[in-house]
Amino acid sequence: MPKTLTERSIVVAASSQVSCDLNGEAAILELNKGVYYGLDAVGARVWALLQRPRRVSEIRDALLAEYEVDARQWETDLLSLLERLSAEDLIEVRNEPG
Amino acid sequence: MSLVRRRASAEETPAEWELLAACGYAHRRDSGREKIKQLLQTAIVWERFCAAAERHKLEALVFRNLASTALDKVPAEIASRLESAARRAVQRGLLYTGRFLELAKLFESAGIAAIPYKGPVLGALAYGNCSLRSFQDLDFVLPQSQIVKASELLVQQGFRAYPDPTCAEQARFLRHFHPGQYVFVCDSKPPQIELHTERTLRYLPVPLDWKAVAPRLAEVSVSGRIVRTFSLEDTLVLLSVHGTKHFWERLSWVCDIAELIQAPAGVDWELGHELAKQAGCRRIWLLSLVLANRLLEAPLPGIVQDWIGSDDHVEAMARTIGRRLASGGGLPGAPQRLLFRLQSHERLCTGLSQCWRTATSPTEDDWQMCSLPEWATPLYFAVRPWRLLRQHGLGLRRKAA
Repeated sequence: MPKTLTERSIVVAASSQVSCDLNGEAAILELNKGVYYGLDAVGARVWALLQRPRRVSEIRDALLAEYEVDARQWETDLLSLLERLSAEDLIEVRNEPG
Repeated sequence: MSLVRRRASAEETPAEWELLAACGYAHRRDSGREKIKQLLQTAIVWERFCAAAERHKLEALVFRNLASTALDKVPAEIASRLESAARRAVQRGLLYTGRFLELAKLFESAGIAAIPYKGPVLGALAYGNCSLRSFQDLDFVLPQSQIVKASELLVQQGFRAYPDPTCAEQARFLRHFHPGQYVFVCDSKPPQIELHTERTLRYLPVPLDWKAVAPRLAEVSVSGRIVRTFSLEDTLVLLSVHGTKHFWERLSWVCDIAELIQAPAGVDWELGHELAKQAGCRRIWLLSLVLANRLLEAPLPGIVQDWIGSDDHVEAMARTIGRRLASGGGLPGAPQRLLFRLQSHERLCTGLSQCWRTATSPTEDDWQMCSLPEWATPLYFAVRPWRLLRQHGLGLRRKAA
């Protein structure tokens, strides 16, 4: 069951996947289901940041510094991507109390 | 009036080969990109190029380098074909990387010191990206003393072993002799697993010394997990012996050397040279470096160039291999193979003893052809040369590629 994501959630790539860089994109294999996924260049940058546990806000800020995008739209897109990754068991989400 | 000497057409380097070699790198080089652009202006027989990329297991590297240079100069149908092949290679690589991580964990939890080499570990160590190196099996090296335990573990996991040290009849043969490798297959869990020990790595003139190797082990990140493998210097020695064993018939093996040379950690050349000497394979090691330099323009420091320059045979051997690769030739005939094996060592007596050892040390194939009772075990020493003669003849006729 995917957990609710907020900007304070801590997210990290799941241990049940393997991934690699594919010409600037990311190719991911979820090992339990045997399903392959692809992320475009921006998604691949998010994926690179997910290789160690980080707060969603940290990922948001890091990418806002790299890309010229509308901050609010970007946060919505980022949360949407992370929710999809979580639903596919590609990331683990931890919500700390408080 | 002038007399122009031309090389025979059979020795001319086809443009497809030059393009393949130009695409055979992972560490970015501006000169490589320029060369690819230039070669794309020439007439490339694309069918031949695609077949060569597949034969040399370079689909992922080729597509990446063409895509980042001038994919618009490649016919659309070919570009699509190369992309599909590269994606298949990457997907297979990811699947096998997942299996590899499972196995590494399994061995570790059972207390088996199985050191991975080649496969995804080499992809990470040399290329910095598992997806750029194609591999078809997973190789681990472990002490001979742990081979039965490791085999039992894999058999419990549903793998079939060949040869099987846990099977009484085969264990009888294995008490006296050592196979080329221990192979494990499970139809539902590809790929094939190959276990090697200091006894099976028979092409190493001096057996692997675990006590010496262990302190030099390096850590590498494979898809975010830290794995211990051989150091850059030890890996170079092992890969040079492996490539020479197979007469460097695949360009991807030369690419592995070229990428290792340029790995960010940096090779300790004095240490590498010393390890190659201790392993009794200095010329084999030098040959791998010459090939990487001449075929793929991998940079070598001055000291290595000096060592190469002081060797009488290594340049000529590299030229022979380069010509054979460029002409798409398969394995050389038996006499050429014997000569190559003898020349691979700096001292003739070392070359002779190596050839004698490999020609007379029975393997699992000899046992499979003729299972002798225990009292007749010494006869396997005669079975092997007889089997090799039957299989290869005197080698006076060149085998089809």
